[in-house]
Amino acid sequence: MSTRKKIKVEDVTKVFTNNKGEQQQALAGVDLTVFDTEFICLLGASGCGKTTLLNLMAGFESISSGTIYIDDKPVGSPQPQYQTIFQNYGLFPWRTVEENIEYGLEVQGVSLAERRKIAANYMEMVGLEKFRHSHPHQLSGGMQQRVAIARALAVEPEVLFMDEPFGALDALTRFRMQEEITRIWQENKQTIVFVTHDIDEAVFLADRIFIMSPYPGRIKTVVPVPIGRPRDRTDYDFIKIRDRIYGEFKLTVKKELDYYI
Amino acid sequence: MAVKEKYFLPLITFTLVLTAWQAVVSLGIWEDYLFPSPVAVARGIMEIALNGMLWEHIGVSLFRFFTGYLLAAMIAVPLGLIAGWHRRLWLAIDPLVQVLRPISPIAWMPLIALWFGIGNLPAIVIILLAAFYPILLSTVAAVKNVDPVYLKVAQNFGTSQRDILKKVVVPAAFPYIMMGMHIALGTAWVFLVAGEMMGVRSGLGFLIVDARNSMRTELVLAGMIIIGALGLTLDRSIGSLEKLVKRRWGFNA
Repeated sequence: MSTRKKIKVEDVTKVFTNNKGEQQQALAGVDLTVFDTEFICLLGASGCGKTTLLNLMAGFESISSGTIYIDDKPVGSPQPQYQTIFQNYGLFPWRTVEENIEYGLEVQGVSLAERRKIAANYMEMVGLEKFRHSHPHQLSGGMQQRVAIARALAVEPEVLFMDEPFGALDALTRFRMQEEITRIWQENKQTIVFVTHDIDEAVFLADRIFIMSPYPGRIKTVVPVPIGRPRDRTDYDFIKIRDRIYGEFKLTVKKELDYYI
Repeated sequence: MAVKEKYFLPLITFTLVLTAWQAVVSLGIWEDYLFPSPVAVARGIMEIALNGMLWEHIGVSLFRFFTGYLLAAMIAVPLGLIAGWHRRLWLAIDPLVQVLRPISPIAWMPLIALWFGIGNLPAIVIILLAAFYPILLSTVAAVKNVDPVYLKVAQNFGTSQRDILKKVVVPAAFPYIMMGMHIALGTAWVFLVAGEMMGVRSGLGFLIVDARNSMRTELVLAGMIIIGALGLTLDRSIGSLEKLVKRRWGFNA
């Protein structure tokens, strides 16, 4: 991780107007900095505004007040070099795995031969060479998300925004995908902003965890995770940090209870 | 077993209907020309099949039908794509469409006869009118219902507005457009007879009108049955095409 600031969020608020005309504050005075090649998690219960914050950073929604800078430029509309991965994959069902991965290159006008070569490379990276001619619906959820990751990586993004990307997967597949994204991140050195409500996932993945609280959404605490990789979920340091976060959410059992047992 | 049932059960239905029909005829309450027997109808079909009239009528009818139907699709699909994509355009034209849609193509017939005279054209226009609205409405709905995540992905990769329509909206909407084409086919086929009842001297609709004029009621029924059977065949054909598209697109069906 470098000390260069990649993303700066400065005093950002977001207010939604619902269809009754009432205003709802989704985010209030959010400040955060993400360093170049850093892996951060936005962690919180639903309604804490973590996805909203991600959408603002990625340029899918407009900021009500404040500013977000990526590479010192204010965020406008979504950019190919900052890719978002969605929970429901967003794969194009009418395209094969290969054609999905090529999509971004196709838009950029890369020649077919070159596209095929690049796509083959990323298919290999996510272990899907054998499925290049399959359609997304023929693949499992985990494989579909690998395709989405490969599609995003194919345009060599500097930042990956990941919105609960493994939320729809079963626990074992989720573990495997967490290992995989760690490996990919270590190989490619992107900056990753990862939204999750899964405490274990955040501790496994992140350099720093930004814990958010709701009504209105804001950042409550920042928890650094100074554990080397590969991480072991049963490791003492791992469990210590995890317990600290459980404590932040008041999910730990009060010690006084010991007395009654 | 299921496949066998699929053919076996309808066979029972048809046998029962034919038997009942023949039984009623055998009661001898009505004259033959008022209520022809299934055998007479079968003989009638044989007669026009052997002298070639039947194939000529079918050919002409299918030509008119597909010309009208495909013209409707060629106008309604692009219009529906544009109207579905530009929210304000659809807001502007939706009420007009909703006023015109309930008007039966048959109500247009006097004007169509005046404007297009006689020959193939009036029949084609009737079919076009009948197929137009279902295709238009399903295309508009298809575009409006494109999963927003596809648009986000397209936007994220820097796809231009024109390419979003071509590379994302059209393929995403395609299975639903196919559904609309399927519905429109059935709707428009119903109006084939109406379209061929005047101003033409060929086609299945004309066959029915002509047979009535010469009191050949068994040929009226023959024409009706052939229209029904062809309608079923067309419906099944486009239905399997639709299924193919849906499987390709990964609809779980």
